[in-house]
Amino acid sequence: MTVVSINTSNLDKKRIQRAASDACNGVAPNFPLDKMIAVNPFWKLIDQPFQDVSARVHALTGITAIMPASHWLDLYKEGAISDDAIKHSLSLYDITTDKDTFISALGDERKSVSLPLLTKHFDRFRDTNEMTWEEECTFQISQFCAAYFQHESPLVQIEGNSAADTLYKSWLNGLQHDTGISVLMNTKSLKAIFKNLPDNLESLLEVSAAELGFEQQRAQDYFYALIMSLNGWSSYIAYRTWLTDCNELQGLLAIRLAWELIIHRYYHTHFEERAQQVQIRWNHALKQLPSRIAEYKQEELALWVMMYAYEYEQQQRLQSKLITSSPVPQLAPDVQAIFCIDVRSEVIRRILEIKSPTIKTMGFAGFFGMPIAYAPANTDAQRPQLPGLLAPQLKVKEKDTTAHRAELIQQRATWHKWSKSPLGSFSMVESAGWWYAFKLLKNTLMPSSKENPINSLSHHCDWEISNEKGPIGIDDKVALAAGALKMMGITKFSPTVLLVGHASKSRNNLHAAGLDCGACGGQSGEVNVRVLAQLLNDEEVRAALKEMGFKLAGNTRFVAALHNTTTDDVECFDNQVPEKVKNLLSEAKHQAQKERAKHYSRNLPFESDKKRNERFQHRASDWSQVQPEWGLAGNSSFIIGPRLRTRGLDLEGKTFLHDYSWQTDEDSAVLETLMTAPMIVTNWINSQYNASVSDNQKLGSGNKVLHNALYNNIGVFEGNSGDLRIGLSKQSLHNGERWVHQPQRLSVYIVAPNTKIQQIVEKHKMLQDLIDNDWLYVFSWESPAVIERLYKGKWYKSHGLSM
Amino acid sequence: MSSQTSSFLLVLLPLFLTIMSWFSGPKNTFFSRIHIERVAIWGSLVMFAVSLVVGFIVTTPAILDTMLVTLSPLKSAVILTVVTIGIILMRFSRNYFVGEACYPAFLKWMQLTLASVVITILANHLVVFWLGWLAVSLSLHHLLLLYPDRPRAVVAAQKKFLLARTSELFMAAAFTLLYLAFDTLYINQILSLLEQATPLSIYALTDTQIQYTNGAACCIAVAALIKCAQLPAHGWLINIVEAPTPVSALLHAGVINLGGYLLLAFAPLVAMYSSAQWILGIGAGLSVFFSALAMTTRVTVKVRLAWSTSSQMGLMLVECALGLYSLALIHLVAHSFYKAYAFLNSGSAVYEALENDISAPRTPQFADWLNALFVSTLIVLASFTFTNYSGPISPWLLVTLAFTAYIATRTANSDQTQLYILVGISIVLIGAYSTAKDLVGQYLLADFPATVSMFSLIDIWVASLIFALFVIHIAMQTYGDKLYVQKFKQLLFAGLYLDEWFTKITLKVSPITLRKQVTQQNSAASITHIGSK
Repeated sequence: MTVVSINTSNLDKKRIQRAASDACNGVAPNFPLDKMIAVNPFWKLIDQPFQDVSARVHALTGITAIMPASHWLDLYKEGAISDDAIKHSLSLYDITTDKDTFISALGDERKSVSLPLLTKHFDRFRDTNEMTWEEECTFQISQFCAAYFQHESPLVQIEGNSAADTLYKSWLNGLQHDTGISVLMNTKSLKAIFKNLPDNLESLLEVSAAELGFEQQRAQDYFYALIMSLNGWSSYIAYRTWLTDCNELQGLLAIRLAWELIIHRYYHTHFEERAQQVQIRWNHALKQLPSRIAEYKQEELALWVMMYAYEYEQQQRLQSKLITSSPVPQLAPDVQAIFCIDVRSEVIRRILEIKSPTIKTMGFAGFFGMPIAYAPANTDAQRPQLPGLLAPQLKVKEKDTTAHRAELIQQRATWHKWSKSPLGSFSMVESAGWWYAFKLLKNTLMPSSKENPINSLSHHCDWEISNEKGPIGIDDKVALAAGALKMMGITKFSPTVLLVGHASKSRNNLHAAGLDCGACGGQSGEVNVRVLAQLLNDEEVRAALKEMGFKLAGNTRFVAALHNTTTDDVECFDNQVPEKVKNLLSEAKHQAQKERAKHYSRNLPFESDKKRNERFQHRASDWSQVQPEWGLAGNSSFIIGPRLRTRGLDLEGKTFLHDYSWQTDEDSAVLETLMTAPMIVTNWINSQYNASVSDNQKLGSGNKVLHNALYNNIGVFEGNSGDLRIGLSKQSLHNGERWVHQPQRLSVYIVAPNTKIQQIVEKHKMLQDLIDNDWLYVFSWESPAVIERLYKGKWYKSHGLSM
Repeated sequence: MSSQTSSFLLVLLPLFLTIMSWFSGPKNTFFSRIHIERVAIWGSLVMFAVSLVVGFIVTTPAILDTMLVTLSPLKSAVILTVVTIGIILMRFSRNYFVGEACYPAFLKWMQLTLASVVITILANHLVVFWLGWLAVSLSLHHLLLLYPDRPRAVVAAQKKFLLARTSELFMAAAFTLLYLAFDTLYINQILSLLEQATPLSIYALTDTQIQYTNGAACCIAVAALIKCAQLPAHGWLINIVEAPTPVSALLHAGVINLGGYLLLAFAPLVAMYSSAQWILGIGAGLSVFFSALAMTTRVTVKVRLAWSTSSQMGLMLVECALGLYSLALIHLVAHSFYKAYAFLNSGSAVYEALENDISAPRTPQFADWLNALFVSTLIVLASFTFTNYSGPISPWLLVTLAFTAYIATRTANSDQTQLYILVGISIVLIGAYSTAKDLVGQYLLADFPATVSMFSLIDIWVASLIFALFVIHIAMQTYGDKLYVQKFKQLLFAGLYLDEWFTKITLKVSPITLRKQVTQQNSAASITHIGSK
């Protein structure tokens, strides 16, 4: 083998390294449990058409990005896809088969994928009563990573010359001390093979390239297949290196590649014939990859036709609603309520509007333009409160607070720690174990909600905002407040302005952050609204804002409020809220609960308000509840435009709503921000929901009843084996009978002239990629009766004036 | 009051659960419209209450010597614990398993497991006891395989299956020997014969009886060790986290401690022979030591809880070996509640991690340790004197060192005013500990054998294990950056490689199919399958 590596030229070495880094750049991040926000799992691949990505990913990793034929047929039978939609879709895809032949030809079972991994090939020699190489290698790497990424890791860490090298070396060190694998795998000793593995990342890449002998132009695909066989850990490492420049993920690639080398060498040493056999097959499989991918693309074509037909049908239904129905009237508002764009706000906004003509609701990204991190006073904790695309610029903390509450939490932490220490656990059980009988009974009979410990510190009215130099001055405060108001597009203010953030409430839920405000980095939006309300109620700031042209009357009061998305309670953090507003919010809550109730049980909508409310509260505090709420399931469209167009319209809680008025946005700066920030966030959310449904094993986190949390909030395992699990659990998407979220790509409607939209799209390659590679739909809706779709630089009439 | 009446009536409980389990199965549609678990829960509660109340009022004319079931304070305590936890688990699972196809199967086998546990505990007949014991692990086996497509769950269940059969063999051997020695199958008769023998001296028994009972005592000790997942038979317990949370909770809180109950039920027998005590002392003692240390290196919530169970059960067995039966019973009951809670609450791990993030802990300094040691020694000595304690020293050493660790970490992290509260908490807890111990000893386990004496050899052995555990744990924390400590941790993280051997043997002895011959099923397809039922 030394002979071979000498032959490897410098150029080859570079190419392999290039392939490794390219492969690693294709992985999207997955955020840890306490900051769980949605990410489009294919985000790094959007420069290719979705269809191509889907086929390629399927061939390389086994991931299915599109629902199977049975799913589409079910929808067709239910009438969710019309014949016309299918005809339309067929013509769009240039398929000449007639509709009926097409439908009857929709096959159900897809051919199984054989991944281009050596491990998979050698697994054919394993008995059915033996662990496969694939399982063992996944298990070993997964357990290693779980331990390596702990704050207090139980593993020896070996410093390397880069983050990736350190990861690889530490793994190698652990492996070389391991005596269990060959015992478990029932193989001859693997010790010598472990010992002779290359001792650093670079030489490992070289040696494996030479020894495994794969073609260089296949290297990137092969490497991608390798890291994505551990896509949970890959995504976690991609999070660690998100917004930084770090090659750590290559370390994971090296580890997985080393396993290929181990198995390859093992069979070459002991079973030469088998090794030869596999070598030929595997090389052939790699060579065949392009034709395989083409084959899958062909196989998936019918599914894409159906998916498009479904989306087209849904778009048409929404569009005729948008064009024909007349919005409920809006009188001069005495209350303005600004909500997050989240689909869950739509329901309560609509109800408020229908109940009162003098309330004006608006939609705005839930972090309210505050680029902050929350660092609770008297603690070492800090958490970002803004979208994952951005890095915080300011820090906020409570002013004049006693350390009491923080200390209480800390004491609880000490108790927990002690009761989990070797001797402490014994004495705790013998002296205080009885207490848990009481706790068991209490949680079963009289459940009460439990708050996120950091949230529990944030109920405070007086905040200090600071940058790296210290508390910010009046000019910065004014700029911050003005920036937020400008993005919201409000210049006139009514006497009461509610700033409504949102948070969910659930008990004993590892994925609780996934139900919180994504625009606030998977946290409650409370801090953001409190800080903004404080800024806007500050006399000094207001004086400056008035000079800038904002029409702030003396009696206008900004009220921070929080919408609880589980129970639809809206809590105002201000005691000067008019009684009328409070009553309105309470009525709206009952109405919203009634509307949501049908998703939980058949009888619930018909219960009394009081009883129904109790059931919702119970849901939020029940420790055995795995479906506290349905989150953003069903999300499918995003409307950027004035609320007057949709006021009071029933959008079924499936639409993101952002207020925008192009007339006041002369340089398109606001629209540009909307299309490059909130629109991306909505694409991420939509893609996460779609992907978690289409492949709940690889892109969703599987079954909640089996979940086992890793320490330090890294993520969850199912049981104690397999890869780290990412995405949404089955319980968040499936009600036992059907998927609650039907995968469909997001349709974005923008109320603005075509030219304005097109200019922005032409400026950003990211937007062209998203639109032209079929990751989402963009429509313009400038004139109330015309909706046009932008695709590959051209406008197509989608709906309107056809009645 | 008549415990006989109660015990007879209590037999209705497992009967009822068995009947309910038949209705709960996946095939039965008769009851599918009503909440079967609601009926089961209320039925159990009513039956439980009725048995006790009726037993309290009605008196049976004569105490029969030969009965299949009996009730004693010990038995009621254990049954009460298990049934309470079982009911809580059923209530929990109603929402937790929403939409899961395996829920009816879960409910069915859960009720059967509970029924078998109750029968085993009530049993006064060796054969009934043994059959009940067998039924517990057989029905549990089905619970472990609720998701049979998960290979690691299958391996774990298989390991458990083999070990359970082994422990049953040991039990069968023990029971046969007992029968041969005393010519009766009724446990109360055997125990009274043994108790008559012990006060006089062991030589009241014939030589063969001594031989047989000695063998039986050792067999029971070994069966208990296996049942309680002591090293190296611990692997299945760790792997069982592949099962759904309520199953883990049932196992860790309601079933695994049957090993402890076995020792309590045959306490007079085990107390007679130091060979049995040493089997327990060494086997369980080493498990306490290694499992407790290995626990600290775990990286997932449920696996850590599983290692903790292994060490906790170890301590319970050690306490039985030392003759500290009241402590063992307290441990059994309190640990059940604690572990059930910890498993069900494992979804709160994120909040607990955030609590830790709020303030980075500081490591206690030498002075902190010294202060803490002084304070906790004082409290323990006071408690020692008040209760006129005479018995092995090791449990008190454990309490002293544990509270030293507590006080030391707390004082390192807060200012001095907190110390008073802290000492207050410690006094209350230690007071509760010794009071509970005395109360249980007086009222529940009144005529149990005496403890081993202070500073006896086995006491010194246990004390030195506890001391070593304390010192090594501190060293691991303080010198965490030293290479040899890291290497030791890595070895612990690997669980000393004991389980790999065990798995290999399992797969060799009883080859099981881990997956379908042709693994053509696309995993993505299987989940969409649930939708279209």
